[in-house]
Amino acid sequence: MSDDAVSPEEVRHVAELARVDLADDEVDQFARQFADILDYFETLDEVPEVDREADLANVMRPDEVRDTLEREEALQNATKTEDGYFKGPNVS
Amino acid sequence: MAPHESSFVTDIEPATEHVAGVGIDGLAPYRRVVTFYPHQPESRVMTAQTVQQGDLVTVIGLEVHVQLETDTKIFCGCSTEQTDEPNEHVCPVCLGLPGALPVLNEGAVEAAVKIGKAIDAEIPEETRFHRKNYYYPDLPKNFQITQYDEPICADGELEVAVEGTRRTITIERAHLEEDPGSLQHVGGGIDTADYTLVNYNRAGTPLMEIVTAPDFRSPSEVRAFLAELEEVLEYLGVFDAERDGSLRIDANLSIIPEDEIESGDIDDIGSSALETANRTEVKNISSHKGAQKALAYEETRQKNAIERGRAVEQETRHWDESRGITVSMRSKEEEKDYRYFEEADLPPLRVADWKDEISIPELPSARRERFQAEYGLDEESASKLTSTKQVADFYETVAAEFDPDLAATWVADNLLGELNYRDMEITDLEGRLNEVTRLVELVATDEITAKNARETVLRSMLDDERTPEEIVDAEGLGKTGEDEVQQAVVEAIDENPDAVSDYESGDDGAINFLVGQVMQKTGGSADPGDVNQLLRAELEA
Amino acid sequence: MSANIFITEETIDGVEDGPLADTTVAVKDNISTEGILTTCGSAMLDDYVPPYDATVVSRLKDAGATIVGKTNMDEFGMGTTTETSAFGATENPAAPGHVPGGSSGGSAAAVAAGEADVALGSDTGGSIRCPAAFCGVVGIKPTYGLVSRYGLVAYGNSLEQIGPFATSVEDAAATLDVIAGPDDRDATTREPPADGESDSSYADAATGDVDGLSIGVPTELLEGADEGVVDTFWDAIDDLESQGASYHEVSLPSVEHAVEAYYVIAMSEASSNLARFDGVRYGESGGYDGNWNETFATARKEGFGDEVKRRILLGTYALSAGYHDKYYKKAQDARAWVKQDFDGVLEEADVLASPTMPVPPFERGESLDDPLQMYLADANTVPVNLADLPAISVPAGETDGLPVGLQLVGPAFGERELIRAGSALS
Repeated sequence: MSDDAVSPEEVRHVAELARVDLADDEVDQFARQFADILDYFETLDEVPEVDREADLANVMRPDEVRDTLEREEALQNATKTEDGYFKGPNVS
Repeated sequence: MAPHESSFVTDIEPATEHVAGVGIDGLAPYRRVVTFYPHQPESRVMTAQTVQQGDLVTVIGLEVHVQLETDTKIFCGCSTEQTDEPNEHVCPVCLGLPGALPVLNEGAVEAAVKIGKAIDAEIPEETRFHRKNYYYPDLPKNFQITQYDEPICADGELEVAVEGTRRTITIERAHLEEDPGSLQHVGGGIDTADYTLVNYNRAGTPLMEIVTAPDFRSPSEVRAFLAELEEVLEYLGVFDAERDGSLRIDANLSIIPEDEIESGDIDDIGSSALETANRTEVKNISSHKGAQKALAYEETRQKNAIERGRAVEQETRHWDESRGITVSMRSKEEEKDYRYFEEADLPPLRVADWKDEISIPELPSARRERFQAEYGLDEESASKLTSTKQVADFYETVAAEFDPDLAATWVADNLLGELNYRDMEITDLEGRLNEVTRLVELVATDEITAKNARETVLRSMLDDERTPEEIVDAEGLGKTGEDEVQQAVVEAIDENPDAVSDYESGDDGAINFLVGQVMQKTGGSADPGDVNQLLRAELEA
Repeated sequence: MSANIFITEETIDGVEDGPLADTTVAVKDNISTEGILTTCGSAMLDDYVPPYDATVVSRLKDAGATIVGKTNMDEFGMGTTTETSAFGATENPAAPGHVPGGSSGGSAAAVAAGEADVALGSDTGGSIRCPAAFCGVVGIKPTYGLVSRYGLVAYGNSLEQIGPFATSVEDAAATLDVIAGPDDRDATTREPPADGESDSSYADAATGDVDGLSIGVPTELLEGADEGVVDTFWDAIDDLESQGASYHEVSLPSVEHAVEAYYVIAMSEASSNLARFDGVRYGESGGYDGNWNETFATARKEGFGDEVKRRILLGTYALSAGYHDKYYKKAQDARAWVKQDFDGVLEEADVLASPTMPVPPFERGESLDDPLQMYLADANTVPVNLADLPAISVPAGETDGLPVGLQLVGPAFGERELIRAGSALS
């Protein structure tokens, strides 16, 4: 990757992937900051490939029913609910 | 992969070549670029010229999502029991509350290993989970825990019979993942609703995603494969066909001109022909019959377009079962970047040795063959008797005690016939199968006639829930025992002195009257010839 | 001026008797407490009330502890000064006008100010050790997998642990005794391997006996550090030497890449861990105008502060198609290298020592304009998280009247070694 600043388009694309709305001046500010930070991350290129082994494996629980939440508890923090359902925006 | 998702744009290292099949060695991670056909946004017009030169070959691959029959969800201890009440089986984990963590259900892993065994797949030394990141209201964490390039099963196969020929379908991989929740669109269809109601009961249900190679050449092959797959999964006890949403199929279909196939062999399409072909994804199929209809429709639609020189778009289409058509979902075609990375909250699995430790029942096709060999049954009977594992199991208990042919008639023809008529399954007789065996015994030992058994007893058993003995007694169906006949003979003689004296004075015909009386007493089930002789013996004594 | 230590002050009594009866505990506000507001220092969760307790909270209650409140923190754990909190900054009781460190600044300050006997914080890249150093108290970051994270709102889930603050090493160790141990709700926890000491408690290890202790000092972690901090550090080492310990220099070449590797991994994980905040089940809602993409984006725009947005975006970028190998994969390689390096030097030393932070506590407001500068301040702490190892920060003295912390790093599950050595300096 070259020394070019991260473009505002790239920032917008990433913001869309991350579902975070940004104001125009935020886009510009982030673009500048990202360039510095990503530049700094460049040195990772120098790192050799190293193999990793997991410390743990095969952690499982038995197929047995365990305590669940009461519906009111599950719904208690939702801004809007309807008849026991969570209300969500439309998905068109 | 959720039904609303379009698949295939998942490679994070842009693929320059199609990786058709992958070998696994114990140490190298299973590397597979998860595309059959790299994403090609431009449509390709098949010119009329090309078509004239040869036939069009239909090439189909499947992605099948199967809900596994475990008691609890894949990453938490919530029940998977069906319920009409929304958000009843939920907890911090499957709701995606802040701070909750997944813990893997051993039962789901066992089910996966059983499936792997049944399809002869490799289970690698180490397998792990990844996060697939995308946003949707039915996805509590806005990422799905799934398996990416190290799936639990790889390189399996399943043999299917289509119109007499047997074909082997390659199953490239099968992996575990969690189901999202369910959405209800309020105030319109999916495109026009005002808002959505979300129910997380289903969120976290274990799924097995089974991906085939593009080996199918016709919609009927697809149907046969799916029917066989369902049967195998039911035999394994990991799947319930009756359960809503337990089977979801996405199919990919391409029409390829025969002369583009380098090898000239339609079973060996080759990567470049596949890559350049358009492929359509068809979603929202939920049964093997639906798959055949959807793909037959799609195949025809595409062939017609090609033959008229029209463009076939590379796109995703939605199968509308009620209208019998596929509908374009083109508006959903976006480049999807799932940003896969390892799920650090779940340590890897080393379960290759589970394949040896976990046993699976004899599979349907093997059982069919054995039934033919061992019990001397014809193919059709063997097929009926292995239609479900429970039927096959029951048949074998009956055949162990009685003549296999008799058992076959009783189970395949009589029992299944009566059950089907009443829209019942053999599982509805759980706990009562010994009564059916008793019924067969009554017939085998000549205690009642086959006709009575079939027409009266069995039907009453099913409709009135009475035992065979109860019915036989109530209806007086017993083929009467010798003592009873003798008793009736004696009684008839006592009660009809006139007929007796007629007989004694030389009227031989009077005995018929007495036979009639005895027959009446025994409800018509005694043998008239025997009765005649017994009367004479008694009278001459 | 109020110290702004707590976001919520509320008393929750534990059971009557137990090892922590008569002990008051302040709990960082990213640790779930049933029925009590848990905000993570964010507007996104400013009215979120968890319906369940974190495992560590249950264990505290079962040990008889009294919880006195939820403490202020950098938003979602992202920060080194507690200034990114949506609820305002926290004063450093040991250094007025200066930051208390972060992200567990509130917890460290609560202990330093005597508002609680002990406190719980979380440490993803130094978030316990940094505030412990800046506030002049003891803080322990356990070995990854020793303490359950069930109920800890995730930021960097492969890096973080919950750990205790206290004014003495022994008290911190006693708290660790209560919260440590495997949890079947956290698949990454495990039982420490059995060794000669496994039967004794962590509190019992606070003997201060450092006779024969071999200390490795990684030269890279002293480079570029503030002179006053370095002097104070060596004074502390002298103190340990006078009690029978010895030190030698070691080299950890991999730590040069530790900060980048840490941030790439932490930000990548954060971008995924924070994706769940969409307003449907909890948190700031984006309303119902428009479709889910729009409403989610609105909720998150309004609920998250700048630093959180920055890290989510960078993390998304590092994982995205075309960049995954360059950043995320390379960062994992760097991590493996760091682990290897630490394992190597710990074969030649009982513990490693360094200044906890390369600088004394910042002045309030000093660090906020330059995020990259802030990230670099974590240079001494992040390698430990990458290596999954335990570490303790103990007060080492002062420079210009500002607290300086000494960091000791141990081998995996070597908390007792750290507690023994750290208690020599009290």
